Amino acid sequence: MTGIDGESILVERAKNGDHKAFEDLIKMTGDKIYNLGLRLLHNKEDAADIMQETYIAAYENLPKFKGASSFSTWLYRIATNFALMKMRKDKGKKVPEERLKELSKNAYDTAITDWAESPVDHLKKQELKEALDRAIESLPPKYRSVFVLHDIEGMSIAEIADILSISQGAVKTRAHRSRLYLREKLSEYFNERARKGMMSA
Amino acid sequence: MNRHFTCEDIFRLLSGYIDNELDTLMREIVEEHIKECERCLSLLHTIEKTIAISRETHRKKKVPKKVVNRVYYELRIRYKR
Ligand SMILES: [Zn+2]
Repeated sequence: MTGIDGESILVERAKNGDHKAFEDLIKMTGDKIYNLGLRLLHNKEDAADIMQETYIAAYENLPKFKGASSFSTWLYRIATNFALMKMRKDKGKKVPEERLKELSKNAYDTAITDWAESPVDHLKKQELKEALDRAIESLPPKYRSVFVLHDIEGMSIAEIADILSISQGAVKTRAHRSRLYLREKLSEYFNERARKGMMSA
Repeated sequence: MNRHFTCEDIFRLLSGYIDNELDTLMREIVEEHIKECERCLSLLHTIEKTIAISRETHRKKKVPKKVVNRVYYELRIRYKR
């Protein structure tokens, strides 16, 4: 049994005290929630914590779930909120919001090089991922969450507005600024790599 | 509709362009501009590539069995209450 219908039947059963039905819901949605945690927080322990906190909270609040959104959207909202709490505890250095605002006013201060066709071989992939993850981690939580939900999870502007309880306009603004910032960080990475490549050639 | 659009105007539309959120007219304006403007085209390409790399480096993984089992265990304690 899969799909939204299967999901809502299981939710009804779980609400009536059928534990097996709730565990079936975990089987159906577990990968999604675990990956969401992993993508938002970049480590397995935190992703496992998010998963546990999310399903316990969902179980305890099940009577309050009225089905205004789908059960998976509801889970996403719970998981994202737990992840945001964890992110806010992280005392790592964050890029000031002012700087993100400036970026979207003027992206042409620095020269634009088109590194989009730069090859990324297998060995460099991990290095690239680390550079990107550091950049994502330096985004303030309210930007990081929008970027991950939109550009990695592939959720629509409307869904994200619903999950984060913010306006669609705010989602668009944060998505745009995050992209520009990460683009700039990847530009630095590729420029640096090109420079090193030239020196060793 | 031949008002001149500056790079700054186009720049503000790029995310909407990528997300397919622009109406036909705005879409055409962006497309006309990037045909002529290498700077905006490079910006568009590198934003798109940033998104592509983000997806590629965060591919879906399977949740480890022991993580799921821990969730079941925590829930079963609560069932008894
Ligand atoms: Zn231009």
